[in-house]
Amino acid sequence: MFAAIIFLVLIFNLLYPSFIRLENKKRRKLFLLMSIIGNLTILCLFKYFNFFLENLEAIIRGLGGNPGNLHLNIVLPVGISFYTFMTMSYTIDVYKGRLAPAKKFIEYALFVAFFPKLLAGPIERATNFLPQITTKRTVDAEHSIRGLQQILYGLFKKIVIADGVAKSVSSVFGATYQLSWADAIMGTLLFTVQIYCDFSGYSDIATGTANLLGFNLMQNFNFPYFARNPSEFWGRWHISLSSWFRDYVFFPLGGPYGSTLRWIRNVLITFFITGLWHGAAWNYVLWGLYHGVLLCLHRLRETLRAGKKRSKNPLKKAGSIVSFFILTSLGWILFRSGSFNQITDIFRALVNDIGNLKLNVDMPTKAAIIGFPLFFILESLGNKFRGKGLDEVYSIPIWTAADAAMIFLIILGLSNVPAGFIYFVF
Amino acid sequence: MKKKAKLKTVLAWIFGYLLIIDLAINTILPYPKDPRNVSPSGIAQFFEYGRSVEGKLAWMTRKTDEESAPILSTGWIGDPRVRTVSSIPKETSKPTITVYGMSHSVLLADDMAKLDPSVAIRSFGAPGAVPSWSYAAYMSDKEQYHSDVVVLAIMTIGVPFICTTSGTTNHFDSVWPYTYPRLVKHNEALDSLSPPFISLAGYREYFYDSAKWKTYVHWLKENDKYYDSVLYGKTILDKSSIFRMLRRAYAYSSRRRKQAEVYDERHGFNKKSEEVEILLSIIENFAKEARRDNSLPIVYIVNNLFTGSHLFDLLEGTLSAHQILFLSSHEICPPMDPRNYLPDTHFIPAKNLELAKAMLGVVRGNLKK
Repeated sequence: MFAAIIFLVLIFNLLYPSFIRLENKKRRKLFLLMSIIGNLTILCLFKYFNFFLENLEAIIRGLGGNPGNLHLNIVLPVGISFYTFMTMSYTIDVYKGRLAPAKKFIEYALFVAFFPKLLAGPIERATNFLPQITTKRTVDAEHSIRGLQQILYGLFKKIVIADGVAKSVSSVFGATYQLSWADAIMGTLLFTVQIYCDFSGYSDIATGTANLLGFNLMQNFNFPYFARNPSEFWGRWHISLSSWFRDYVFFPLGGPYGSTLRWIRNVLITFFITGLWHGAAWNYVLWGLYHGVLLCLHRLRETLRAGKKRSKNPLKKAGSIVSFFILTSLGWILFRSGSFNQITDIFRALVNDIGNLKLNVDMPTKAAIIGFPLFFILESLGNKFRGKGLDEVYSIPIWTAADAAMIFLIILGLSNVPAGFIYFVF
Repeated sequence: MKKKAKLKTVLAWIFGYLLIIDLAINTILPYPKDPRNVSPSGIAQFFEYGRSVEGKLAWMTRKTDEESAPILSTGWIGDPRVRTVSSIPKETSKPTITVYGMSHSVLLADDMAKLDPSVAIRSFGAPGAVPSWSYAAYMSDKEQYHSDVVVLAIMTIGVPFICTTSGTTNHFDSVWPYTYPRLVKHNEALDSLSPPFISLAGYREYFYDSAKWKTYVHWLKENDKYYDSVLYGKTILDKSSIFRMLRRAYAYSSRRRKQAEVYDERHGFNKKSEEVEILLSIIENFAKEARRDNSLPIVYIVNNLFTGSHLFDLLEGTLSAHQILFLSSHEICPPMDPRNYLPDTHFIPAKNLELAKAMLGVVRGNLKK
């Protein structure tokens, strides 16, 4: 490590004379490139280096060689994928002139290291956050109540639902026996609920905590399981990441413009990287590509249906939501599985074992079972009122009843085995 | 001022609702007052789990056995009710097998009796018995009765509780007042500290005398690793279902932390823990004592769901070093396959029968008679 630092210093000093002779625009571009390369190097070194080595090892073995064990013992710093993306967006926005650079280092440091979002996002944009640091923030009762309610809903989703089904999910995705159709369905559906409640629960807690301190973080989830198609889904799921990729990868590649083939290429590249962002493993890449393909198919379908009005029939609307929910859930099998064999095992159970209702899965905890109806009602209302808080729609006696029910269920759920946040490993 | 009032209003409404929920649970799902009622509804039971240990004891304990909860009389070593005779041989010359342990071992003994009526099967069991209870039961029984074969059952999830002394500390959701000695390793030898009372009569005497009960609680505090005053002491908060659930959450979290110091599903056992040291001594002593009494010692290793073969791996060295016969459930019921287990942690009947067959096989292959 020390030698590498000395090497970098030497290189920098060697290049410095030519660097100061550069004209301003080129110098800015060079700075931008250095920043992006620096960030990506850190990310690749910690997150993807072993993945690269393992694949290299497999290729060498495939060719008959014996590379030995190339694995490096690197500990992945928590939240690295989140804060490197935040810093990159800052640099690019400053370069593009969308944002004035932070005047003080402490402002920039607070933007990157603001504790509620440091570990698992939202991947905040400097354009949204930096102005809040320099302007006067107000912390009043209304803000605090809103913040506390968000924290409460986040805790409810995490402690009651996500942790309450975690054991059931593990009993399917960690199974060493042949799964029945009912096992595969149950495991898939419960993971679909778990990952949403786990991750959006964290985002709610982060956003609520920021609210208590007078900050507004960007919305990260907007009731994604009510999406009717992949385009809507990615406008509702992990919004801070999907919008990041849209702005800094998809559009620079050409976006939705140009020929259909070019557009498809751009989508697939963006989703390939989106998958890889989640983890250094091929199952994440597959998951990303799966969503890329869904988006391309949707776009092609929309092109074919150009000019036709979208049906307002509530039954058809519900049908679209359910159909896309099933497709999303199938995608989560790719995301959660530990190996290709497991992916095939689960899909085999889903296809070949239809109707086998024998359940071997651990049942969710009582808190989760009692909590499901409340969760469904709150999500439906949230979607209906487009993310408005219940306090904005209903009178105090009604929304405080929901709060009290959540507090009660959280108390019940505290006996669940606590599980770490899934997105902390990304 | 207006905003401040709003916050107060919100809190008042939430508090009011919580109070209503609390009262509603107690009213709609009342726990039966009669301790003889052995089948309260599952959901009523769920909301009772967090009651303090003394609160639970007060519910189940009455002056006479007839009025008390049937569970009160289980697990008292030396009390004839602790023993179940699974089968009585027609000819007294037939060999006797005695099994000591938890419900898993009682079920094993029952199936062994069904499979082979030519042997006498006796079993000593206590709900949730930990290895120190099983060992104490064996040590007590061997003074009264000679068995040709003695089987000591040990279960993975019971090992972290070896340093407990009572059914009121080795479990929390359900408790049983039975007691057993605290085992300690002293200069490589296994010593035991006897609790202040070891019988149901002794328990009643202490329970109904507050001064004596205080001395017992003090003894627990000094000697039982899982004694926790927050969980043990009866308070007025026992009346609130919400506080009961909070206490249960605290119990789970604090007990999980302690258990993890000895065992966790991912890494297995902490071989440096006091509990593991005592467990290995129990096995050595059990075999030594049995051989001295001319009995054949066998260890029955119950590997719980999702615990892999951790317990077998832990004991394997000691068992082979001392040439102790054993049967480990993981060979017949792979612990990573939930289809082998019932939701209450027992093996499914078909697998239990297979285990009983295998145990009889071990006995037949090694019994000299």
